This record gives sequence, C-alpha cells and structure tokens, in this order.
Amino acid sequence: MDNSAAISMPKKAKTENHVGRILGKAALYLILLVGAIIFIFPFFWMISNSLMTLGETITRQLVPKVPQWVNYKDAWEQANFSKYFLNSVLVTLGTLTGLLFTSILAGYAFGRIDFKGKNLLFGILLATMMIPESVTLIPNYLLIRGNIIPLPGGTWINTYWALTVPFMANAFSIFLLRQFFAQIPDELWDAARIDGCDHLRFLVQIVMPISKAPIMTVLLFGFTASWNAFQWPLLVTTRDTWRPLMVGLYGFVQEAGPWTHWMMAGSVITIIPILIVYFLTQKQFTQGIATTGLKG
Amino acid sequence: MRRTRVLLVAVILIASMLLGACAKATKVPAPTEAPVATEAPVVTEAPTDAPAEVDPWADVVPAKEIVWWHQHTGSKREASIAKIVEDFNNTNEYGIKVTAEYAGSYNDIFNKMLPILNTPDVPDVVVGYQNQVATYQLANAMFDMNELINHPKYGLTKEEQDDFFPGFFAQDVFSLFGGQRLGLAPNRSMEVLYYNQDWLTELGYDGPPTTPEQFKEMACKAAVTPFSGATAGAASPIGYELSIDTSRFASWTFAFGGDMFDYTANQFTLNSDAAVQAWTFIQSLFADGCARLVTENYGDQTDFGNGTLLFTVGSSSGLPYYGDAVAADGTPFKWSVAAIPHTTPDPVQNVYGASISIPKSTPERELAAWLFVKYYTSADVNAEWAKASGYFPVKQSVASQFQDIFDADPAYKTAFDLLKFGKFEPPVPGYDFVRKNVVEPVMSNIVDDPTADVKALLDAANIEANKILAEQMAQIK
Repeated sequence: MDNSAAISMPKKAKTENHVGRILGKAALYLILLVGAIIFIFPFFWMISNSLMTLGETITRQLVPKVPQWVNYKDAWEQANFSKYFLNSVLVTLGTLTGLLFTSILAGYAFGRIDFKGKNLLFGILLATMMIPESVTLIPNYLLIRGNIIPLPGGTWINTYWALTVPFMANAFSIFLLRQFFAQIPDELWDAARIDGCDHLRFLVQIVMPISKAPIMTVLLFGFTASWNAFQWPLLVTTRDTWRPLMVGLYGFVQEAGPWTHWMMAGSVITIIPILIVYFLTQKQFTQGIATTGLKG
Repeated sequence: MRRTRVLLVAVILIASMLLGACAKATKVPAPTEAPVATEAPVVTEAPTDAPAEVDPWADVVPAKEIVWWHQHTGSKREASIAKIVEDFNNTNEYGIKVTAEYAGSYNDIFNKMLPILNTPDVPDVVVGYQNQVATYQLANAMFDMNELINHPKYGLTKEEQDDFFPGFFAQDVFSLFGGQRLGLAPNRSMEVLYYNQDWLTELGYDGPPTTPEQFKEMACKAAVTPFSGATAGAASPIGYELSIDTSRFASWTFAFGGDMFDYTANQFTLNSDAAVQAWTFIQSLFADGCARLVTENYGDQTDFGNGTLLFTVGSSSGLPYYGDAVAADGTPFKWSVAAIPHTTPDPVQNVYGASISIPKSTPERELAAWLFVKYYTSADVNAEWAKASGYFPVKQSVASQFQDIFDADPAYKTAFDLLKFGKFEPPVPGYDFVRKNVVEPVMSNIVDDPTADVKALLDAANIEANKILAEQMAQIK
C-alpha cells in the first residue's frame, strides 16, 4: 500500500487550513481597517481643515498647501474662547457635582431600598426619557424665567444656575446606577448591617468603591453632554457672562457661509478636554457599559 | 387587587400632574395680557379734543439704560458694535446707556422674542427680518416708528430720510399694518450674479450677460466647453447652478419685471406673468443641460472656486468667500459680479437684510431706543458699520467714504452701484412658511420635470401662499 497519499493529504489539508486562517485574518483586518478609516477620517478632515485657508476649505482640498497654524490663535481670539473655556469648565464641574450627587442617591434608593410606590416612581422616571428634548424646551425656558414657579432671585436667565441646575438630575444616569446597585449581593448589605452600617455609610464605604466603573460612565456621559451643550445655553443666556464654548463656536457661522477653517480649529480646541477625560476613564467606561447590561 | 390599587394610584397621579400642569399654564401671562402694552403711549390714544397740538413725547424723559439684542459675531463686527455703542453712550445728551447683547442667530432671537412679547422682559432694540417683525406685530407688540421719525425734536430731517436708498427706506413700512413703520435698516445685502470673466473670454465674450437670452447662450456654451483654469478632478463644467432658495425665486422674478406681492391688494402674486416667464426660462436651462442644482450648502462657492461653474446667483455678503475660493489654488482667475440678467430696461435687484426694531415697552424706553436707532443709522456711523461688517451701507451719501474699499475691491463697487435698483421680498407674517413650504417645493418641481406646467404650479402655489397669509392675519390682536 502506498502510504504517501495518505501522508500527504493531512499536509495539504494543514496547508489549506493555514492559508484559510491567513485569508480569514486578512479579511478581518481589512474590515477593521475600513472601519478604522471611516471613524478616523472625520478627525483627519477636522484637523486638516483647521490648518487650511478659507479658500481651501471652500474648494474642498484634502490637505492644506501650507499649514495655517495661525488659525488656532485666530479662532481662540475671534470666538472669545478664553472666557468661554473657563465658563464651560465651571458649568461642567457644577453640573457633574450635582449629577453625581442625585444619581448616586436616587440610583441607590431605587436599586436597594424597598419603599411604597418604588416601581411606579421608577416607571415615571423612565418615561421621562421618552419625551424629546425639543418638546420640553419652551416649558423649561419658562420655568427658568420664573414664569411657572417662583425662583430665588426672580429669574435665572443669564445665571450660572440656569446652565447647571436643570442638568443636575438625569433619568438615564439614575437608571444606569440603579441597574448596577441592584446587582450587589445582599450578603454584603447583611454583613454591613451586622457591623452597624446604615444605608448612607453602606453607600459611601461599600457600594461606591465597588461601583467606580458605572460612576465613571455617568461622569463621562454627563461631562460630554454638559461640555457639548449648545441649544440650552444659547436660549438662557443673552449676555456672554456665562456663555460656554459651543456657543462661541457657533459664531463662526455667518449668513454667507461658515468660516470653516476657524470653526474646525475651534472644534479641535473644544474636543481636547473630552479626549483627555475619555482616555482617563476609558477602562472604567468600558467596564461600566459591560457590567450594567447596556451593551448591545 | 394590589395591581388594581397601583393602577388607580398611577391614574390619579398622572391626572393630578396634568391638572397641575394646566393650572400652572394658566398662570403664565399671555403676551397680550401683560400690563406693559397698555402703558405704551400711542398717538391715537391722545386726547381727542386736541390731537394735533398735543405732543405725546413732550414730557417723556428717555430711559437711562436700554438693551439691544443682535446676532453679530466675529471679532471685527463685535469690536465695531462695541465702539458704536460706546461712542453713543459717551456722547448722547440724554445719558442713555445701551448694552449690546449677542442673542444668537436670527431664528434664535425670533424664538426668544415670541414668549416675551408685550412683557417688560423684551429688549429695547431688536434685530429682525421684516417677516419676523410682522409676526411680532400680529400681537401688536412693536412700536410704530412713524410716531417719532418726523418728530420735530427727535425725528429725522427730510434730508436724512432722503439719504437712505429708497428701496431700503421703504422696506420697513408695512402695508398690511396700515403703513406702520416697524423698523429701520442699518445695512443690506443684495443678490448678484457672480461670473468667471476668464472663462467668458475663452468662450468669446467680453463681459457678463445683461439679458436672459445672452445668459442662456453663455451658460449652455460653458456646459460643453470646460474652463482651462479648472481644478483637476473637480466637478464637470456647468453654466449655472441654482440653489433651491426663495430669494433666487424672487431675484429671477424681479429681473423679469414681476413681484411676489401686490402691496395694494395685500396678496401674494407668485403666479404673475413675469414669474411664469422667469421660471419657464429657468426650466429650459435645466432641460437643455445648461444648469444643475446646488447639491450641498454653498456648493456653488466650491464649484465656482474650482473653475467648473460659470455663473451663480447669491448674496453680496458672500463676496469674501468667493474671493478666497478663487484664490485658493494660487492661480486666481478674473471674476466679478453683475446685475441679474433682466428683461426690464434697468436692472431690478433683490435686496434683503434684517432691520432694527423697537418692541413696545414704556414711552421712556421706546424714546431712548429710538434715539439709539437714529444714531446707529446716521450716515457716519452707518459708514463705519458697513466697513466693519462687510454689508452695504444704507445711506447714499457715504459713497465718498468708501473710495478705498472700491479701489481695493472692484466687485464691491459694482454691487454698490446696483443698490439703487433694489427691490425687496414680501415683509409679511408667515413668509417663512411660504418660503419653505410653498415656493421652494415648487422650484424643485419646475426644474426636476422639464415637462411640468409652470403656470399651473405657480397658480396652485399662489393659492396656498395667500391661504397661509390669511391664516396669519386672522391672528391679529
């Protein structure tokens, strides 16, 4: 019996397998590469346009002939960024402080405390997520103007409070934390109770330290929303005392067209803090999404 | 049982929330209920025994502090506004202090104004397009400047009034509201024809077209004869690009001798003979392959800059953009602007721009606001503002102060010389709806279908536009 064929078959199959694996990997990398290009291109376009002349942006050049670094300085000065940047930082800090405070407490209450009407209240809270923002814009505006209920100081138009207080509570953040807090084993609570813990101490000393990931996720979502806020600040500010960065960026759009080169330079400036926060919280953010059951 | 109870509680809770919301809503003062409106002095309210002799403004002392909402951004414009305001604050004899506030875009300002009309929260001076101001006036919320414009002490002299370009001065007088003047123009822009002179020379023409026939001949020739200076890899050559924008509808209709509105009958005239001729002409450009639509915002600037578009019609405020686009690749071609090709003896140019208006408040605030409006539109200040903003001035006498700009930018001079031929779009409430929901769909239908019956489409559009107008006018308080 000639065994050579029998011996060579597995070799051939091995080689085919190997080629198949390589081809499979190549296809995978190709798809990933295409995906990466699709995601990276807008950033490339933004940075490239931020270094062009206005004419180059209008005629849709891909790269600038001579990089116009001065665009960054011009954009900073044109849009009063030094002032608006500080405003954005202060508004975001205030909003996040309030958001974390309300979300953690409410999330804990919904996730770990049994009380009458809990599910009904939680259902109503979730229902608010279904209402489009544009529908509530004018009622919220009237509320902030003091038309609906009396506010301390009469009206909050042009104040720090108008930009921060409405965003210090958020149904999505409460929902996200509630999902995580509800998964914490009851044994931990029982053990804490034996050691004399009440709810507040249990929350601060046990729950929060093991909930860094979802808290960071709330922080990142809150930061992005507050930093990128545009329509609301534009509505409730008529002076530049508390006007944030995004409104400054809007100033580059004129009737006859946008100043795209400055707008892109300004956009690069405005996304830097978001990128920094994202890279700092990236690990916890991914964990948070994975552990709270929000991933698709 | 428990579930039923929970359901009952939920129903009661939701019902109480709804009732609560309704109760709160009724507490919000409706614009017309505000007491301020009744405090505003109106000439017609003067004692009837001596209406001619009594000057309602005689004892009014201008308010010391007023607020101006505007939409201007950019360091040059904002610096100019700051200087104008500072100069006024330092020099006016009444001690009025104006605070200029950027309040967002035109639409943002419009949306902010609506809920506060006829309340003390309105700004004293506000920027707005004529149709937006007309919408405010449905609630009787705007001050009629006729009360002060001819006032012996506070008004404008005849020379000052005549110094305005006539079209600009007339634009803020509203026939729908019995000839009330609800604004005054501080600056204007105009629709002009942008053309590539080097390409025209290559095609064998000395200059831009003045009639629609010449325009079509040149545009069709350009569509099959690329420009030698076109950017490689750019779009295919074309004679004309049309953006679906009601201002283009107005421009071409005006150039064919028509109008969009009958100011005697106070009715839209979208189906006038001139409009039908104009849009049959545009339809033929598309049918013959000499024109195409602008597919993205400001895409005509892109194609013009790349040398693939011979003609486009757009706002004169785009002059710097076109200049930069043409110069982008380092080998600029010759270009300029001209009147829209016309069938009328003289050009008829579509001019537009927001005006400044005075919301009703108190006599003291209204007078102070008027004094600032008067200062802001005075010849020297107007020249200063026009130079900083890039808009056109509204006073004819300022031409002498613009020689340096004319020398540096011949296209600006050409456009400036066309200002006297200005005509404007209808300053009526609901015009925004008519623009977006009536005229622009019809424009699309006309150019998309070479066999479409232009007359029938415009007839239907006219009926719809007048229906919208009637609905708006029915809301007058």
